[in-house]
Amino acid sequence: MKIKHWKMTLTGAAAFIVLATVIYRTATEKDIGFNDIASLGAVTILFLSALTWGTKEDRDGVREDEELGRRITEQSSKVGYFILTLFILVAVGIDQWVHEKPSLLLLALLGLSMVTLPFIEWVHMRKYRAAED
Amino acid sequence: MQNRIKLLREELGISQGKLAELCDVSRQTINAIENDKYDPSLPLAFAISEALEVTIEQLFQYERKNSE
Repeated sequence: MKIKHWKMTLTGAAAFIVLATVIYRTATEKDIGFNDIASLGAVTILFLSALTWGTKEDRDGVREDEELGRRITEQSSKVGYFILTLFILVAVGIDQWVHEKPSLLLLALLGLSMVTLPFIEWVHMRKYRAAED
Repeated sequence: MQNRIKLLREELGISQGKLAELCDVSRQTINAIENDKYDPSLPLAFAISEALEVTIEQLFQYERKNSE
């Protein structure tokens, strides 16, 4: 069995167990806390990572540490950032619809998410700015 | 950027997988470059030209975009 398949099987099983636990806790009206959501997020990240990347040993796909892998990561990061901002915008909209007044915390988060990319671009640009003579 | 990787690779009789192995990248990377899905970095372009025993100029043709 290839390393990728081992990783997918193990992380997939772990993700399934954590998801089943969260669903069970919801169904039995038990509280779902930070640990449940963080665990679910962590195992999902591991599973998707195993699903996406190949290994050098088995030569079964694009590797995370090679040129195309880094390019995929860069492009996905930017797309992911915009989707996350959109999710926060939707959350603000739903919050306003439910409570008739949006949460200040969500609004602050939306504002922060909107300025994060241009701010980081500005910081990066400064690294490449040549010193004037 | 146009490239002649596929042509030169086939002339040498080596597969995408073998070329990928010689350049320490995945076969998918070589396939993406051959199909003009992306332009490789300079280090990878040099690695490919070395593996195919040609110069960079023989491998890639730069087409200037004419905006006039």
